[in-house]
Amino acid sequence: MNTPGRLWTTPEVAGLTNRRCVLNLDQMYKISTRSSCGTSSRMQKVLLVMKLMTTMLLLSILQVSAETYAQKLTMNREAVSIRQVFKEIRKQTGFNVLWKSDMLDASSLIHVRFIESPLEEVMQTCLQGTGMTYTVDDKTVVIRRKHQSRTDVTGWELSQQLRVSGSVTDTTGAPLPGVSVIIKGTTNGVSTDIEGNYTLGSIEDNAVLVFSMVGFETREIPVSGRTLVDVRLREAISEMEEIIVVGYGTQKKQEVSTAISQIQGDDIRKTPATALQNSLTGKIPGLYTQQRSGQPGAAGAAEIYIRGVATFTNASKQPLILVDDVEYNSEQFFLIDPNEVESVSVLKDAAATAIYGIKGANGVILVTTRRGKAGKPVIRAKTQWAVQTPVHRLQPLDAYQTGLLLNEALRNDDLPEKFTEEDLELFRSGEDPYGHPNVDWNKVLFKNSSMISNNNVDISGGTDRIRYFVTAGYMFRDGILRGIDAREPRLAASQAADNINNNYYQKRYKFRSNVDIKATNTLDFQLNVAGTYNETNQPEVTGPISHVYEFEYLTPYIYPVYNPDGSFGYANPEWGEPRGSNNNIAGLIALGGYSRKLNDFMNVHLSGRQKLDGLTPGLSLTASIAYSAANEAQKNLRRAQQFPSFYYNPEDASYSPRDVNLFRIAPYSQSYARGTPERRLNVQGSVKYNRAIGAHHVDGLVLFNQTSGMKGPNAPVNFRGYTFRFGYNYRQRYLFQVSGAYNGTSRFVTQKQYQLFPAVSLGWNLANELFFQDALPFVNVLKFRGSLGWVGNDDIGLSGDEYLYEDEYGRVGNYSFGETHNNFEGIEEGKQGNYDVTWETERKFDLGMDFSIFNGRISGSVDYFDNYRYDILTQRSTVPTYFGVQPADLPPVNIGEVSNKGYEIEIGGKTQIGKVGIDIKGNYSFARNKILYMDEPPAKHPWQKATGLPIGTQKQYIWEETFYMDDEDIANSATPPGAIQHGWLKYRDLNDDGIINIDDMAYIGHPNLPNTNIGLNLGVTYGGFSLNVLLQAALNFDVYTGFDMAIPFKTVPQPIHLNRWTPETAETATFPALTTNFVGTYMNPRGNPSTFWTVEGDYLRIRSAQLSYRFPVPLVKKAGLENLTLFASGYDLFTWSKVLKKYQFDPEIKEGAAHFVYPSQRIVNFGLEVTF
Amino acid sequence: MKNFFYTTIKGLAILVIIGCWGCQDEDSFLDKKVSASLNEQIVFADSAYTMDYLTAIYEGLYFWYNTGSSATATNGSWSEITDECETKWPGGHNVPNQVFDGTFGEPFYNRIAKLWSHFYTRIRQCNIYLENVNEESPLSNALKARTKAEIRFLRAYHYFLLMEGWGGVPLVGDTIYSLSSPNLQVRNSWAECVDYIVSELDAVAPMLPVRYTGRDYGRITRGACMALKSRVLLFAASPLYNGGSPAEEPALKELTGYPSHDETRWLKALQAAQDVVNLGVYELKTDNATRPGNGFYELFLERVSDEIILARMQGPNKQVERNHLPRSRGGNFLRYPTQELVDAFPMMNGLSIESPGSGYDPEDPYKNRDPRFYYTVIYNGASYFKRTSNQMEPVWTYKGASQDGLKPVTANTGTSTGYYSRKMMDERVTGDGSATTDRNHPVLFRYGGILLNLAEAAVETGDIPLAMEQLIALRRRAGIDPGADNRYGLPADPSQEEARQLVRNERFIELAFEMQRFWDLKRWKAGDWLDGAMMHGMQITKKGDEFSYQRIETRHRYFKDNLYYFPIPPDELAVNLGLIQNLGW
Repeated sequence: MNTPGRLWTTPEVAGLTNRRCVLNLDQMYKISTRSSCGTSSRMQKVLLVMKLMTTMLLLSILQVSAETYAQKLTMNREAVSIRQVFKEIRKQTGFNVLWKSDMLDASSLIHVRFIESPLEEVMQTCLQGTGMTYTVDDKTVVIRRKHQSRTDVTGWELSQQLRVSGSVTDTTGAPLPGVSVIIKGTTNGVSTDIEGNYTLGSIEDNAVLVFSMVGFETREIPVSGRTLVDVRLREAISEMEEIIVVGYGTQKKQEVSTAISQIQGDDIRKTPATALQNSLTGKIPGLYTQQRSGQPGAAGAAEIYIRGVATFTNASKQPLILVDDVEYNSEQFFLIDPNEVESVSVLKDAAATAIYGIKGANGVILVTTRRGKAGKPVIRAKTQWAVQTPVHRLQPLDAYQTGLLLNEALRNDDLPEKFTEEDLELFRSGEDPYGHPNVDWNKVLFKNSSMISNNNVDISGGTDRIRYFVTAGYMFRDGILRGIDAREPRLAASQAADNINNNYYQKRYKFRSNVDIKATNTLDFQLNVAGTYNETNQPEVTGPISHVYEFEYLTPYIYPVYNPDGSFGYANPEWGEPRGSNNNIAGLIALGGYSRKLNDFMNVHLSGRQKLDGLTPGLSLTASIAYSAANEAQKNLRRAQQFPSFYYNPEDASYSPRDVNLFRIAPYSQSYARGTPERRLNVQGSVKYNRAIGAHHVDGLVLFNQTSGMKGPNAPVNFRGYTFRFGYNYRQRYLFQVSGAYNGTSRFVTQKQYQLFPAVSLGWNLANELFFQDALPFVNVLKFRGSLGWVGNDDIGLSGDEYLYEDEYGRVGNYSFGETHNNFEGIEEGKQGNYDVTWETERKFDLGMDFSIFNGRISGSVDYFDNYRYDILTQRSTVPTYFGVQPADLPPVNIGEVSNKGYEIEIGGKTQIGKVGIDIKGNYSFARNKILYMDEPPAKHPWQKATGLPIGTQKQYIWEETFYMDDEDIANSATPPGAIQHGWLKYRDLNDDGIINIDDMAYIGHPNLPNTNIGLNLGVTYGGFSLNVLLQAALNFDVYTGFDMAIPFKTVPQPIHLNRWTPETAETATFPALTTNFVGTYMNPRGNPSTFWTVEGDYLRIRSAQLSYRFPVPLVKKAGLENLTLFASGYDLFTWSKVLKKYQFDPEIKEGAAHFVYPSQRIVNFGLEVTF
Repeated sequence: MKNFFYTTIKGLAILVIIGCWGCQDEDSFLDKKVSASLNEQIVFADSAYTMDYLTAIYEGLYFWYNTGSSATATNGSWSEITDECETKWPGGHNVPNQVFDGTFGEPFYNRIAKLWSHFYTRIRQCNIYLENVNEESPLSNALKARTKAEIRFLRAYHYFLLMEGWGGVPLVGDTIYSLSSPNLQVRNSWAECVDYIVSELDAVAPMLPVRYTGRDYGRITRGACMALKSRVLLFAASPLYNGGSPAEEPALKELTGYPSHDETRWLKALQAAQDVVNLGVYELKTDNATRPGNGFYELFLERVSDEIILARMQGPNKQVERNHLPRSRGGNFLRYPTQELVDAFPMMNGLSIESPGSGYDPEDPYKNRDPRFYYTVIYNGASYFKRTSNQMEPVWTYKGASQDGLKPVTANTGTSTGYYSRKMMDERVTGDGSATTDRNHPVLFRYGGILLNLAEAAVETGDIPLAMEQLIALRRRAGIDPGADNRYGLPADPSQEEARQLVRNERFIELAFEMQRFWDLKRWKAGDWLDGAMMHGMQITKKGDEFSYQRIETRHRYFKDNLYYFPIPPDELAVNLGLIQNLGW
């Protein structure tokens, strides 16, 4: 039996509640059958239907179950309108009923009582006494006057007939097959063919055509007598049909009752960052990122959190990351090429993450990669070139000003001045470049800009049976080192001969092949193979990045880059050498060698799905196996400091070597070290059920999941879990979902390995209530949802080869007994075990609302969450040390508690004004945590209690915003013990004892992680042009100035030091009086941090901007292409921040480390995308 | 809905099948995989492991010195805050240097807390050994007895280090605390601590051999027990502890020393030192034939020695050279002598440089000095082996000299006093070469030190001749000219005060860089004298081949009352209100 009815799709089953869409699908069906009438070939009919089905399947990953509907009707109602009966006929049998209003008053009421009644009986009942009869014309019931002849019918249909044809394309100009084209007010229509063309006969010249397709905005176009009507459809801005990737599956957005945000690959790619995490910043509410370094390929350069952090120990705070169900660690995640991403889902509440059980407490990021679509091969090539420039660059003072300040500091310390007036004059005039050099090391060492190139090719396509998406890419990101030549002939020859690249750079080679195989009609396979090869390079020498900031290494006058004879310069011994006698930094860069890190990451993922519709419709069985392997290696070419450099004394033109023992350039030594290989094998098996029965939709999942992980010599980390989810909704109005995981991990003792993590969520789609639709028809979505559940975190900061529940004795050091040396190995009591140790648990509560009005022109969502993490594995700090257990060896106990609350708001608007499309989207996230319990020793003073404050709040002195002005001031103020000078920082005496000491340190200020994140995305399209700008801000976090960042004469003098306190500038000074031994004073931020050294980190950035132009399709087609797009984009284009202004370092850089990191890079990117 | 239930049942059935497949190895899949790690039962059931456990306690032998041992919970020997030396790092990096300004911030407290915790961890490790090496231990009874005696010495040694730092501390006896034990222990008085250590040492000394041979050489001997006892009693008799604690409050005074002075404590100290001498197994390493003072030089280069009573044993190494030589010799000059130390060395004739007739020439200050000077200090023009030229070459420290020349006190690229240390160094070993010396390093107790203990006690008990006798022995070995009176420059009949100063000066120079100076100044209660004192260096200017010498100031010293005792870690006080904090913290 292959009747059309078998392939019938009921609207309810397809899950399409939008009434317009329902109509469309009806029409599509009807149209297809009608157009196939012409051929009267059964086979062609089936094929056409199948095409439509394919389209629908692509749009709705949910399996549509096919059901046979006999043309029988069950209906038992009193006083029902004929129209409603006809509707019911359509619903239950799929047959449409056509009539004309002058023939039949469809609103007249009748009483019906049908039980499995055949269609004939129903029609007869309905038409009784109307004088009408009907014919069934290929699944359409046409009502006509009795005894009317065929010719009459034609006359009845239309008097003036037009034949209208045209093509339907999307906004990119690509043809859209399967679009329904309907004459407004009727159910007549056709659908477009595979080339997007349609033809409609018998149309009145004042008719209005309605073009509609799932996923696109419906357009109504008056024919106005034309015979050619071409139409472009825009993708629907309504998100109602959007498919959301959830854990182990997908859901329609309407049916989601959990807190999930999803972003599409195209939106990610609008930010031209080379690493995925930087492309996500500011786009997803609840996602917090901090970019810690701008170094190409730097590991751990970014931190990524979902809804802030909720644990204060070593436990991992980073979310679980799954790429097509394969677990990635954060470093592997950072290597993902945004180009291969289809979508990123961020799972935030318990109902979304509970199925990840013991791994879900920090939230989950699901990355889906792109897959092929059936059709002819589409080749897409994308090439991008970018220029990167540092977001900021330190502007140190020149030699003259440095000398002035140093002399002043020495005078303040009652020490003799270092430079004479003549010296200073020579620095200023620059007349003695060798004896009195004045070097801007930033300019000497670093380029203004460096380059990134990024090239990708994708091929995708396939048939019904096999679909493929294959991509390969190469990215090269260059570094900021300037190529420096050795000029002395011997060195130059050596440098030329070696010809090595020691610049910072990253090279990333990627490939991915995602293949979908339809083995039988019920069995599908997916095979994903992906690999990354990454190479990160940096100079072997320590510190070109940091030394330019460090007074002890590089002052502007330390040495000239080259001596008159071309040899590398070296310091005047009278003035002191660089720390550790570090050799000439330019020479080190020219000759020092490189340090190169090589990473491979490969993963294979095979999954199969057997549909078991035969058993019961909607049931399927899935099994998958994923294997990933990561390797790393380190290759170094090293010369250390082993090349000659000379101090040139211009007075007698003499050259003194830096190292009298070093006469030649040393050869490079090579080293190679293997890193820690990592393997992970994951096996999953699941049963899924997804079915709509009438107005009820149920879905279910039971899943078995097992992972074995192995990392270098560490103990294997094994995981096993059973997961379930059951969801039910009634007409997409009332949503219910219960899910959970019963998980076990090898990290804990046998009796403590398993735990159930359940979650429940409820949702109410108010907008799907008929009364609501009637009252506020412009509201498309209004959904309230709430969830409560428990999730765990078993990644509790183990360093590797350890089981926390065990007492351990370990090997420690050696001792040499004997009259001759004999090495004896030691053993001692090591860390203590805690038999009861277990994972952290978080109770997550979430309330949310989603809305969309005016056809999605304005949409958004609001979420409130209240998370409570408990059983945080903490080392106790109230155990007395005379018990004799080192604090680090104390057993961890599950006692910490943290509360983390916040909210997220996302709101967006889209509109089309003439040819201009505008798209604005903003999000605001707030998450504030509070330590509820952490086993803190009783605080001596209330201000020294960390419990009750956000994680990471700094204990510090409070600067009184003033300085010790004079002797009288010192005498009348609280002072620290020890040396004190006029113009030094005055701290608050919290306990009023007249002495500033550790009792006066208080937990105050914000932690380093912002608690507020704001993103604002503005998009404008006009014709082929589109412009997209992303503004991002982070608020309420502090940046602590580290040891070397701003301390005079640890760091090179900066403009901030010009505002130092002097008796003359006492009123306007912003920096304390200078001293040469700043670190020895109470003002040293290392050890004595204070609010003086703490700066609000708040920043606002133009995170990205993209302008693209898509060439008109006809033009492109002439060139034999499908698509041609040109684009220019920027990343981190501008930053407003106090930190940047005051201390000249990036606000996102890790506290205390600013001098040692590579500056963040502004990227200006140009690209070209071609599709064949 | 009928279908749904039907499906659900089918689904569950499939899950059960999968689950059973998964569960079949339930026990093994998530259970512990490796068992290479050790625990208490395994260790003490095995004789070799048991001995390794003992080894680890030796490994942790703490010494107040910075040679990169894992045991150094703080950096620095504390000697850089005395008049003995200056340090490369002008502050901030090393805790002792915070002390220069009296700015005791959190890092200072943290390091002190680590130290406190380190010692108590050692004591716990000792107690674990004592408890577990019982009848069931596989060790022989003789070995059990001996090793337990070694352990009790090591425990006593760590208590003494605690007492040096904090005064009276909680004595935990043989208790091995469980983490839920009540936290009620309070500090024991100074007197109780002294008595406990002395009684332990008296108990174990007879159980230990006088001498070890072969592979056991380096273990705790009877002599080591007696040497530690000598040191403990020397402290007990010294001014700070013998009724001199600056604390006013009686409870604290009792914790930080004896409440009142008692002369007889010096007699005990005298006897303890005399007992070591009487043991008759130690002697001063003497060799003045090769060159004057050569015995003093080689004493530190020997693995097996008759002078060394206890050292922390290591294999061949160059720690002291690498840490302290100047840059031209591949060293890190972590600390280098002050002018004060240099001036403390007498002349070759034994007369101090201020003495009339000493022959000291301020324009040639390094000529004809005590031979020990030449083995302690690298001065401008002193010869030291140079790896690249493979010969002895002068080290130049004059102002402007390449590499090793005088640097400002705020720099850290060379000496700021004009000197480098060479105490305990092998002059054939440099920081940058591969050469090492198989030696005991560092020395914890040596016979020379015992003689100085004896001399000091003798002075305090009024037996001046006995004191002078010890100094003469040391000076004879040092290679000083005996002089016509055969008194090696020492006055014939010094007053007690003169003798005291002579003994203290001799201790300064003989034990320079041997981790003694800070503790000596403390127990002599010399804080008032040191506080605010300016240290000096020598700025040498080269003109042609001539040098001119000018004393320069380097840095002040801080030594207020609070520095006599370390602070009890604040967290320790917070969780145990019974503990009493030391003065000034």
